Amino acid sequence: MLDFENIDPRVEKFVEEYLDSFIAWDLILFFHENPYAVGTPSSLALSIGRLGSDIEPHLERLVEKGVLSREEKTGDAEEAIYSYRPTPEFEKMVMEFKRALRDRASRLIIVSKVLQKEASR
Amino acid sequence: MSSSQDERVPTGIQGLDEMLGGGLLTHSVAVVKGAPGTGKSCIGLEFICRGVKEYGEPGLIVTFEEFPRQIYRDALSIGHDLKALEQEGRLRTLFTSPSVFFEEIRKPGRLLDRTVEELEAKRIMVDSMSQLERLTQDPVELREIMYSFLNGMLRHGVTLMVTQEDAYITGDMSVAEAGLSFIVDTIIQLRYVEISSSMERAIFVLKHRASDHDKRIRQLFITSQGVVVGKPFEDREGILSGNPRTIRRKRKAEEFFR
Repeated sequence: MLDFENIDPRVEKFVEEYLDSFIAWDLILFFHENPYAVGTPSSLALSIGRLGSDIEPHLERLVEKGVLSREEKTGDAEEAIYSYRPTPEFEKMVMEFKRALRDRASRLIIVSKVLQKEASR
Repeated sequence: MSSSQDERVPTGIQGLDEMLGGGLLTHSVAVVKGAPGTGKSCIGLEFICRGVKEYGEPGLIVTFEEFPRQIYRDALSIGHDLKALEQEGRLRTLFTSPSVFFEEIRKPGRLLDRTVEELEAKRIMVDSMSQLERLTQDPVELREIMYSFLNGMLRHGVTLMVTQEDAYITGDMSVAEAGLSFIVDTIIQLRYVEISSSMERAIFVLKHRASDHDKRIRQLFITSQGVVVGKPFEDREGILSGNPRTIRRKRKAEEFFR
């Protein structure tokens, strides 16, 4: 049985609160590694090898959770612009998450949790 | 524009400032052109990092293609820890697309205005202007975009260094892609040169508006301590062809056939 018993509680909290999909996973790691990245759904999608239409709802959820900020569309702009606004606590959780991913057993547990969340959506 | 020393912005690159008569002109635009791998981005990184560390001038790096994590790695290889400078609030590595950035430049109080204000940036490096070609295929419109793009940054009173990619590795050389060469104040050209079956790097200043400059073609080295501009290529001609000949050998041949 794969569970969070042996995983850092901060990682468990991070997965529970923020990782509801693999796209959210990709986006969070992308922004963590490139903290001053700024882009539209389509330009960010290029950066993580996904489709713009697929990532937009995930960007919005990360805005709602306070991880990203969104600039409203103005003038001729067709898409909103997103950038990273993490709290220091969130950044620490991402670092713990990255550390946990290096351990195969922990990684499997996290992947299974995200799969469950994806399936239940 | 005056060319007095006190209005110069030193790049901090050993040898290059001497070539430029003390540095770039304040509030001007310099383009560093060259084929892939010639060292354009390294010169840009040096301009920003040495500006921060040696002259106390905060800097902004704008990248359209390379992810910041790649730039952090490249900068470390020439002795600059960008992440540390970012944490100190003296530098920022902004990654975005040309269309987003161009849109943001033109809107008051948006991304560029806020970033320059927060950082109190004095230097900006854009890598690379070649990416603006994604915005239009019309050369006239592209020239207008580049002009507006550069002026949008210059209105912040910064000194700007941009890179532009050359299509040719050696040999043929083009100067005026999309008219950028006419818009900018300084053109620094990098080239590969084949010498004794090995590729070396060369640097020369093709244009330096309102100022005298060193016209010689010099050696360029990228080291773990940074970029170093070396001595002129001596006893050789045809450097720009990418396949220079030694002058001595040419003279010997002339004497032989005389």
